[in-house]
Amino acid sequence: MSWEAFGLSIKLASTTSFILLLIALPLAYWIAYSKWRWKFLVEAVVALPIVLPPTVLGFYLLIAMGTRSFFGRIYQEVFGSNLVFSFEGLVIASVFYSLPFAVQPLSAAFLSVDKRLIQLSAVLGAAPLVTFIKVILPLSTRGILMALILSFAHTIGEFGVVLMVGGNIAGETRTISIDLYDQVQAMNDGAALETALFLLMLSFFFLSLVYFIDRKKGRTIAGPKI
Amino acid sequence: MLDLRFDLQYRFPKGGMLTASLSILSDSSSIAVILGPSGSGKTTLLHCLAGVQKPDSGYILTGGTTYFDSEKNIDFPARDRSIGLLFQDAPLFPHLSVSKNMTYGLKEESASDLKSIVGEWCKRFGLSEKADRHPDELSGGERQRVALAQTLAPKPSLLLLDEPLSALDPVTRTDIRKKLRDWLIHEKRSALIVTHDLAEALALSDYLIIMSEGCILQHGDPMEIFSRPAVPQVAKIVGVENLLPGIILEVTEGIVHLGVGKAELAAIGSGLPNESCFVAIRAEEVILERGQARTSSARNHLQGRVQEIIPYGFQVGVVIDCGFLLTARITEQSRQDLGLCLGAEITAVIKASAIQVLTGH
Repeated sequence: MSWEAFGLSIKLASTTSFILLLIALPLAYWIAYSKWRWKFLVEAVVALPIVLPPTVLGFYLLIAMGTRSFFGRIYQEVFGSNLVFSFEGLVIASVFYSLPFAVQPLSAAFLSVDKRLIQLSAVLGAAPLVTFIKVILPLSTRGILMALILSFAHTIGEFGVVLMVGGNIAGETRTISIDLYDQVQAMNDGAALETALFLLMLSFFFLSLVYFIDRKKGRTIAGPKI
Repeated sequence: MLDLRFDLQYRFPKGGMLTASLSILSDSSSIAVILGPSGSGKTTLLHCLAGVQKPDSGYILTGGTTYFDSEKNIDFPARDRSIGLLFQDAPLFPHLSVSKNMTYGLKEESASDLKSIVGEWCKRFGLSEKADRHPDELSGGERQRVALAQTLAPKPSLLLLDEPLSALDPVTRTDIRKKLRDWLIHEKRSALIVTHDLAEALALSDYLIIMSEGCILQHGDPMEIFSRPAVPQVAKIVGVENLLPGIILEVTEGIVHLGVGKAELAAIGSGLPNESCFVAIRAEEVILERGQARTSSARNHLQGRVQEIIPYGFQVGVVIDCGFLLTARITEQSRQDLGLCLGAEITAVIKASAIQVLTGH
């Protein structure tokens, strides 16, 4: 097993989870509370990566980030390097790829906050942002934790998108799942078994953590039942 | 003083309408109580006034400010209305301590001010030593008092309290009710209080509003409404035990002669002969005498037999068949003195002025 590839995967997953949290908080808030009639279209777009073949997503991102695209050219002019086949490119791709895994637990958590508490906060003079920070966020800690764990675990396991956008550059874009693919291609069965088992254990650990947190409901349930 | 004018239309998602309009401008009263059966739209009315629900049309005007006007496109968000709302079941922020909950609506006070405000409310509402607790460590009654303090602490000019004392035990309820009333009068705040409890309505209110099925049926001086309900529904809501269909037989010199069941009654009032009406008699206005009727100033002496005796603690309700079923309310001691039992012969005496005739409905 390549520790370099593993380290890169961890770095990619942590960066992605952190950026995703920043993007997903406002997006999930909007999805949870907006009354816009076309909201379902936005929800469908956010959920796309769940069903879309990763290669399709990777292919579009490859085009979008390539030097022939507007975005890719701007990036190259500003930073002087190519976005495709770079770690930064991988981060952008992973953010898209894991978006639903951050947004969905968050909007579910926001929606489960007792609506009366949000109204109560408003009646007591709080602006929506204050209510979000003082009431909704503290009562959604489980959802935030779930979003972080799920987007982290999902990014660790990503393969197709990385292959399309990042290629296979050691230390830059060769993540642990790419490394496993390499080992199998090279008929290096011992190392492949070891990496696969490691990834299996890791995923199992994260999912156990998710279900454990989900089971520990308690204090965050709001409102007295008289 | 009470200064509140509104005319609201709200369509319930599950069907039915709230169509309530009211205009109170009174120096003498500051506490209005809304009384009505559940499902009559009391909570929705409070939510519309506070701005957590949006009426379909109408206006809300209080203290010289228009908070809502569908025609002029005015709709103040809840946070900008100087209105406090205590929700039914008194929800609290579960992640905040009692003191943080109490001071949630206070923004400009310094830390030491906040501390003394918390101390003051804890003392007033018997919550000392609970300031650092979390809501899930409190009893239902304690939570309700914290929620009440939370609503009152920012001192909004109008307070909307939805069943504010429902979770309290009888002793605490009387105590908190008095403190609430004293505070409102002392701070010169007006309040609109929803309750189911008739005694509470009488103890708290200067002004009574009766609601049913999304409409305001009657409003005004509480005693006036209790003694002279305008329509049968109001009589039922304010707890007139005897509400009977009748017919006006004749009207002479301010006395209305009524046919009720097989009996005849004389009441003070007006109406037209042959007009159908409802007759309202409060059970405590009915006097029971044993044996033959004697001459007295009361106009109605009804002979009958006891059909049912209903215990209400120290009092009993006595249902008498005297041509119609009449309920009287007497003390348990009186029942024993009269030797009342099922089937006993009794005379019910009712003054003409204690019989209310409701016509035109």
